[in-house]
Amino acid sequence: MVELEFMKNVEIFKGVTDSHLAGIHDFCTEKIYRYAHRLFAEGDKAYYLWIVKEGSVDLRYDPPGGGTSEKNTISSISTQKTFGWSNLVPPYKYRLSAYCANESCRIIRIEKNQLLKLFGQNSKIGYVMMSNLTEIVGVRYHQLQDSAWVSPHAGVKISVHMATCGIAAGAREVMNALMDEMAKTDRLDIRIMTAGCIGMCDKGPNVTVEIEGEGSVIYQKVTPDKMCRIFNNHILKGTIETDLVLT
Amino acid sequence: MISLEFLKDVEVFKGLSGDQLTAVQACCQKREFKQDAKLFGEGEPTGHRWIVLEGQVDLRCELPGSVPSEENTISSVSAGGAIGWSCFVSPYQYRLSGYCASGQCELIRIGKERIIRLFELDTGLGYVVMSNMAAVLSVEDLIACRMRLQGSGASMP
Repeated sequence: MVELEFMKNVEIFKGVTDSHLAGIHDFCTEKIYRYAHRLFAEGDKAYYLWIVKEGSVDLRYDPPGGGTSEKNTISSISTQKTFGWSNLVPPYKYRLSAYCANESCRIIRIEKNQLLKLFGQNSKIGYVMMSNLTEIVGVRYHQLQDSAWVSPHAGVKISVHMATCGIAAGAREVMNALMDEMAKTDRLDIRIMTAGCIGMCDKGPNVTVEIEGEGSVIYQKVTPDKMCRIFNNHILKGTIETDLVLT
Repeated sequence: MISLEFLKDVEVFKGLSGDQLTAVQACCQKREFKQDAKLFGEGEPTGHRWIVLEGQVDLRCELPGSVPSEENTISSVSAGGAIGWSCFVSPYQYRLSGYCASGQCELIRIGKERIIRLFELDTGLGYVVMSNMAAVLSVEDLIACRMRLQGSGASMP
């Protein structure tokens, strides 16, 4: 049973009126999970928004092909906190895996389709909840940024050009592929940046690789597969992928 | 006057109707900066959201005691890119400093208070913009997640 009083104190419902909260309450179900149970995996379709009622949940980045480990925990979610926000933003897939981190966790699940339908019928609730979500994601981003501040003097810089034109051409997918490759290496001298348009929109997505003492190389029409090639051959082995270089 | 054609292609305004874009347009002011001009400084209160119209803005980490330089650039934003989502996130301060990195930069400046008033008047518009912003932020968040793991030396296969 999900109590309305509990929901009033949940961060994502801040500013939602009692009557609207009562409507949302109808879409909530409560479940209990045991220690180490996986609630969802990275890449799964995101059908629910989740709230911790009791216990805590670890969000982990499980690298491709590898098992899970507490070392890969990105953040731990405690009571009244929300997770699984990917259900409210495209491409509606979970970006991390979630595990019960206590002997037992009591979790509230809210169905995505019901929530989005409600937002469509009542944009005020949608606006309030998406504003709260922006703040929640933003605060976590700040925290992560603080703990992950990478030296600006790294020997290798990889810039993915993510202006509007780059994103339309697939720069986000390229960035994701690059991050997957980064996860497989223990190199700490590589810095990844986002950058603006270089004025060659028809040849995007573009990626610039700068290795200290070697100048910069701009790659064109990069796809996730090509990004893997660039990373493994140019960054790790020093061999420029000449057929992909911007001409 | 900022063109509606430009605004409709800005990522956070995607999905807005013509009337809604016109309302957003009324909140926009055009500002110009010369090369190396500082738009805002790390730690300053965020009163505005910025969108680059022309040129390139570098976001730099101001290392204590150091002279601002390209070496400290964390990311670069060019035409169509938006800066300053911190104005919607506590503690409402810029996390990085912004510098004009090209011969000249032309930006749209949107006052935070004014755009929030617009969101409250037209919550449909507010819902679309905030949804777009959450989507953009979630990508940045993912990048930060992976970087944190890299920085923490977590075990990777």
